[in-house]
Amino acid sequence: MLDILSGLPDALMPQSLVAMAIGTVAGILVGATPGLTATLAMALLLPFTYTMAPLISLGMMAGIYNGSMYGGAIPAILMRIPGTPSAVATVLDGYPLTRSGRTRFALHVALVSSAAGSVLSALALMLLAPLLVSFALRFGPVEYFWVALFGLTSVSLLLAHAPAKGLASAMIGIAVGIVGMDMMTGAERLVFGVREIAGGINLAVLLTGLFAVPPALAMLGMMPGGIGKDSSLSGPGLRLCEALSFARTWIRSGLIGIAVGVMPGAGGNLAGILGYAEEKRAAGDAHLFGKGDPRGLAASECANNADNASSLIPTLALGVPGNSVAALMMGAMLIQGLNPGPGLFASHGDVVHAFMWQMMLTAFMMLVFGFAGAALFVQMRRIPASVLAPMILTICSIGTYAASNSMADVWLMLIFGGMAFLLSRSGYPIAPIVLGALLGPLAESSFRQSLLITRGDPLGFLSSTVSIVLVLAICAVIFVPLHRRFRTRRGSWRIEK
Amino acid sequence: MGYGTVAVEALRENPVSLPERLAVTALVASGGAVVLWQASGFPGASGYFPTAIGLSVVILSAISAVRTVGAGSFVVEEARLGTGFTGLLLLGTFIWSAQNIGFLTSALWFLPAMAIVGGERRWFRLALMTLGVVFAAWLIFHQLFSRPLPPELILLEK
Repeated sequence: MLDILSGLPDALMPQSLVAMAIGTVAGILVGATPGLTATLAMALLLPFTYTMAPLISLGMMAGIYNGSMYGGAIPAILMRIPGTPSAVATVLDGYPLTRSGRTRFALHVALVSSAAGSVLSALALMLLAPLLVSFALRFGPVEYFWVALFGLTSVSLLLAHAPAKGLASAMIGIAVGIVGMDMMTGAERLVFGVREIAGGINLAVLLTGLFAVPPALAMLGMMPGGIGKDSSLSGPGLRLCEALSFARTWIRSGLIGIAVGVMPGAGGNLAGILGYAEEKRAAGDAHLFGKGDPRGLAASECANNADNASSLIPTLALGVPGNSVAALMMGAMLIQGLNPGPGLFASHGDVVHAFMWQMMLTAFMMLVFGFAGAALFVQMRRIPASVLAPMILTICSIGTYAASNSMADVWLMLIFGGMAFLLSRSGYPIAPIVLGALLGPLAESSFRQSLLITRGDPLGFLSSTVSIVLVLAICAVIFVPLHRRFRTRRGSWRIEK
Repeated sequence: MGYGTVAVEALRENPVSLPERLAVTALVASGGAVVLWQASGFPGASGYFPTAIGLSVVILSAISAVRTVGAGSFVVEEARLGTGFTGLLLLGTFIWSAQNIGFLTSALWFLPAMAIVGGERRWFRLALMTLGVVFAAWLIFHQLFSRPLPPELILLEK
């Protein structure tokens, strides 16, 4: 606990506070703009983080992550358009509140609930990550191999509508991850004579290409002109006694959000929907939900923000990101020379603990900026997508060049962007590509170390209880959905018969 | 990836055709085959993982192809194929142009061209946006970060 407290002064340094403030405002603005997501904003920021100190880049990332989740609620409440996928359930009771002339109240409920969810989630990160680390310190290469494989299979299968495509995406990512010189033998792999990639693919280039280019192209297909025009803040705001009445809702949906965040492959949208559903189930007067019940709005917003910091628990403790935002966060850490996993807590404990506080402090900043800038944030939806798209692509290109001073990296960004666009259109999920690029090299090095340790004995890969549990978990992730699908098909076949 | 209801509504008439999906699956499979072929030349343990990856991609692509043929059409939240390719082509031309005349100079034609592809027709707003973004980029990259960028024609660095 003292270790965690020691991170607070670093998080409160002026540079860190400024970075968090910029990130939080940027995050709310991004979230409030339909079409822009936290993933895109972080991918855009990534090339700029090379020159920043670790706590400045991580502080900005923390602000963007928390801020964008609340920002997504703004168009959901005002126009029935979720600004981010996580705000889907926010629409259900947020928009009816606007229609009944209580826009300001609805925005305040969303803001306070988002902050409550973020604080609960940051607390979970502070308490659970060190516990997981103390457990993971007992892991050897064999266990790490299985952990990496579990992360890859679970996320690939859970994120894809077609399991084969999810796994293929992960394999493409691993192939990208192993490009360059093999550290053990010195052999160049998958370089194809291109000198610029002999040292490996630059992670920031990969992430910017995959997460910033396809959304920008998608914006070109949106309706021209501003998405929303009517942006008045009507009605009275939220009073303190009203806010306190949501405490039970926050605890319930906060815990749901935390649990969803820790699970690999799940995300803020699932957390929001589950939080909303549970609140409705627990309410005695469930018929009010969907008609402007603030409890539904509070549950959705609290749950989708509670997913934020908790999704970083496996990332920080094991080096296994559970979703694309966590993967981007991990990318930002790797750029700074911080290698997520149990070793990070020993080598850079000060940075990790300060970052945990940053996740907490940005929740309070969100509260301050959310109340102060509400009138500005609601205007964001008026920016036309056709104007935003070229801006994003220009900033990506200049940012990528500026980060490495290499035009080859800008071409690579274009190639990855084009690849992501085509794959996405054909139903291949993009997040497993990043996961493959991050976890593939870890899986390979652990596998080869394990082979040396076990002297090539395959049974050595099942020598510990943790390994066996992980293998069973991987089997469950693969076979349980297959079994369910088989039962559903057999059921429908019987009905037809 | 999800871009919100607006995108879904705007792209509702955007189903992905079967030939396109099969072509992409074939591309993925050929990528796997190239990895497999390359892996055969890697020394010792260096080739284990690439071989497994290449083989897996080919097998998974075959499964995907079979399932794709049996599946119906589906709508995506991505840009239409034509719009996407036009955007990528413009971006490629922008990068090539930036290499020769600088990023800021190239942004002067790229920003309005891309916005026009996106359907923007308010010329005053376009001009304002272009000049605003170019000025902001100059301020951030040249003045604030002092990052070395390719020589700019508009700054008479060429």
